[in-house]
Amino acid sequence: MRYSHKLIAQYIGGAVGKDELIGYLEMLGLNPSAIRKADGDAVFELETPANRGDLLSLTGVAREVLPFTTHSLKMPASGFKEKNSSLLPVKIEDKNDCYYYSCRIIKGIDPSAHPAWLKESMEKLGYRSSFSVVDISNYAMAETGQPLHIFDLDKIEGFVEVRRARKGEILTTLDGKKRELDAGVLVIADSKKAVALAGIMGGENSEVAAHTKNILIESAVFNPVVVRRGRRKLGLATEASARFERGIDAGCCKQGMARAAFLVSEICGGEAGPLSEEGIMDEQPPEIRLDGKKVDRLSGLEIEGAFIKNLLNKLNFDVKKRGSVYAVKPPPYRKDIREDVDVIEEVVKYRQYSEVPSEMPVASIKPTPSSAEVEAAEKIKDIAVRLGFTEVVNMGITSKENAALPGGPVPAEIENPLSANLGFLRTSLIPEMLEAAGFNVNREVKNLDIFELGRVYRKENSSYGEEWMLSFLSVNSGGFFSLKGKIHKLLEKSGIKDIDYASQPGIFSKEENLGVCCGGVETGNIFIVSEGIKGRYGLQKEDICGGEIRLEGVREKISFAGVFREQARYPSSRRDFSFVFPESLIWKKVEDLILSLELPVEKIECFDFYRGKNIPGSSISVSFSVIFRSSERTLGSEEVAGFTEKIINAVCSVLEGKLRGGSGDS
Amino acid sequence: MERKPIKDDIEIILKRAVEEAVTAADSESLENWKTKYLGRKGEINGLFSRLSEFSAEERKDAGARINDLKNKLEGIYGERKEGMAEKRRSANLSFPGKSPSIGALHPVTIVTREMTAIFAEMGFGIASGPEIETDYYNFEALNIPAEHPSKDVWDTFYVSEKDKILLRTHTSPVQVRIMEKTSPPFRVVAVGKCFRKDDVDSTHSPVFHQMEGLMVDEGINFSHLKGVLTHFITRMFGDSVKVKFTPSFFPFTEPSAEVSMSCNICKGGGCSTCHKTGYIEVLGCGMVHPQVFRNVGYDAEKFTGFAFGMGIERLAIIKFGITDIRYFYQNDIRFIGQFS
Ligand SMILES: [Zn+2]
Repeated sequence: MRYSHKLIAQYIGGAVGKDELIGYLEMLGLNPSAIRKADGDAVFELETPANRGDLLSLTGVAREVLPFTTHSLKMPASGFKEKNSSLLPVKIEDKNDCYYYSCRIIKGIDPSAHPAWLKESMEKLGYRSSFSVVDISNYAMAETGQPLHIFDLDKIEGFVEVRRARKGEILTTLDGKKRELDAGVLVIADSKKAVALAGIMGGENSEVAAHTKNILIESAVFNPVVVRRGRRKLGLATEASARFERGIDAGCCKQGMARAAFLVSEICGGEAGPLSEEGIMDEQPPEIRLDGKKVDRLSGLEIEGAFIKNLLNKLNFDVKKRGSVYAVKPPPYRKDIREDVDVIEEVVKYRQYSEVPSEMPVASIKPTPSSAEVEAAEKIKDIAVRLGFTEVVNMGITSKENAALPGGPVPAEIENPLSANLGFLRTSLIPEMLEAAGFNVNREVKNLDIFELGRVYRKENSSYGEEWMLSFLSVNSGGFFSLKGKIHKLLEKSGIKDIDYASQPGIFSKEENLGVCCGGVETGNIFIVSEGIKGRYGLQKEDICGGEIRLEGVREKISFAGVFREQARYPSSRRDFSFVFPESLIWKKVEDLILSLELPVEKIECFDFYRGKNIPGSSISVSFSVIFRSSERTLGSEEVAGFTEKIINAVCSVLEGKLRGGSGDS
Repeated sequence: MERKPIKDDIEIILKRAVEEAVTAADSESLENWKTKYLGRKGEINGLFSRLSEFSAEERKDAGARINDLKNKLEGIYGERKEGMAEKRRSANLSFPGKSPSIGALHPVTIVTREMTAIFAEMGFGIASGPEIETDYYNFEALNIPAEHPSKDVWDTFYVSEKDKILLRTHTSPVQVRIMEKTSPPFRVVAVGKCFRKDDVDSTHSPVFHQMEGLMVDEGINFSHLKGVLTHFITRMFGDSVKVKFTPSFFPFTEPSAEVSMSCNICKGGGCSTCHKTGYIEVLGCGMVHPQVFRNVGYDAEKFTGFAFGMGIERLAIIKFGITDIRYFYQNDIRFIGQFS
């Protein structure tokens, strides 16, 4: 809502300057903004809390700053004489939808009377000036906080009823939109038709016009939840609905009606009829026991009793003091005050937050352990960076194409997405990373190694799951074996032993995908991204491989504890081997075989493999070295030659290898 | 067919190789030399492949000789290469070094670590919680009633509104989850991704990160909240920064406060970042509402505590002077690399 200094100051029984007022509002945390000073006035907006409907009014804001001053509130005049006895009967279908409804007829008004001050006030409050009675209803709402509606009396037939809309009932609202209603919406109706959306907006069929002489003023209190549901259903939030949702009290409702009728009578004349009303407001402000010691205990201040009592009196709270304990009852418009801490906030607020000292708590050093999951994640990120990867962070809400991957889990869908391409939760980090790769490649950054550590989500029947995933993408950067080596190293450095690989079809490549197993648990995949998928992200020209590791699968095995091992003291002997194998050879079998021979093998390293020239079609040439070392003595060359012989024999007989070259010393 | 003794071959090859290596004038011819003798199809491997022609007895001896030759040639190659490199080096060192590619952490991680480190100094542990949450943890347990306008601040993405399953709109549900399984005293921060159905602009993103903090004990009061958060902000942004606490409203704290700091861009003089006020909003906080304590079964008269929440990207924006929140999710490698 827009406010102005002059409009507020007229309800304060003493002088309060522009800057003084704005200063108070700042101290109260109402954050005056968009301040515009002109013609001796200052117009501004406020951020009012969602539980303070009472501040959506000029008198409410005036009341709020009074405790900073010695002044008192000056309520707007509302005395007028009833001059006829016309009365429209009121019915309420369900008192739980509408607690109280009142209306008053005014006949024979002069629609052309429209004073300049009213038009000016409308402009300051941010309304477009309309017919004088419409301006009056808006002005009275701004003053009192009570939403008011004015009908053209001649367009209302029979009586006024508050009821649920009938299914399929049509109403064209004042914004010109034709709306089809149902029982989820509360309406005001006459004997024949709906004439307004209760608490939200009037209907065109009962709208006042330039020549309207007879009017009906409505002031009511609707159930906040009913108004909220209705306006959400219709997508129609208004000044009126905002106030009803925050809660209206009986006093405000009566004041609003009286003030509107007074202003119409004063400005447009006419003969006002008696109030026609239905329902009662059952208002029982809570009785709160406030311990003065708790005020100090919670605030860290020492606040004297006189300050508390004086403040609460000024705020219209009913206060009784017994010793250091207060019995407090807030005024009915303070629907935010429910228990003692709410009152304490008022006290500290007016004492000012800046008065509270800044102090360090004196507390037990009982440690609060950090989550092992978070600590591991951060250490893994560090290892990835040491391996040359750059961390990316993607949103995780993405398109259907990115989330529903063929062969992947069922994605969770957002029911109310911001846009169609942000309608699903990711099931893998790779698609968004491919998009990120595309973004960079398009900006001439052609070689990149990126990783992301984030959650993926899935739908499981009617429940939803999420887990941490660690994913990598290498674009034109060393190829598959470089990435595989880095991921392997990262897993090793994270304390994971027993890493195994097996070719199997994957989501991002059918043929060139390697499953990763850690300690027998399927943990992830490393793959060369297929041509089809690269094409989808405009990356067909790039060499891209990726990998993903489910951290859930290795959680138990992660350990960053270093282990000291005495480094070998005796020299090693290295022997190189070159074999031709059937193409289907699994490298791990070579390693396992050599290790099974129980020789003093320190390390086996494959340094070359290739297919092609001079190698028969269905074969692969593999060169590797074996490093022998004993922890007890220097190995003699005779001995090593014997080991070499054993390896050659085993490899030839068990794995159908054919020796190409021999062993070599180094 | 008579076999030539391999010993002779080895000597011939060694002689020839040494001559050729000495005459290799540049690194290209040296590499060619290496391929010729030591390459996959080079002469050494040629010798090795002949081993199978020999008996086991002979093989051992021949193998050792070939290996010896191989070592010699490798030694020659190494020496020559070094010699050439030295020549080149002494020629001109003014050219730039080769630029290595270096990994980097995302600014969200960098700022998060800086923040958690400050709180860790004050004894706060680090926690985390689920991103797909229930209405209970995200709203109800935090004293945010259904169908109340206070809920409007958190425009929520629903995965299933019927089953009350949503994407958490703040990290505050982690507070509740921690309190459900921890008894006071404790102090903890939680960091994570949050989701809000906000229209995207330079300061709003539907996905962002938040840090939540919570300290509960007997005797915790508002001055402690001020002390801890003032320390945090000055540690993060420098001692010259002024910190201001003003009243605010959050359903889960009472009293509630908004914390701003003097604008580090205009030093308080007024600029577009601080909307000419000289102050920037940094975080929201307050004393934990007793209803939240009651919801998790704490004695709300015995224990008090404070809680706070702040946007990680917002702090990174202030810290580094980043002009648009959207940069955080574009993943431009050049952007990410700037911060570490
Ligand atoms: Zn500034």
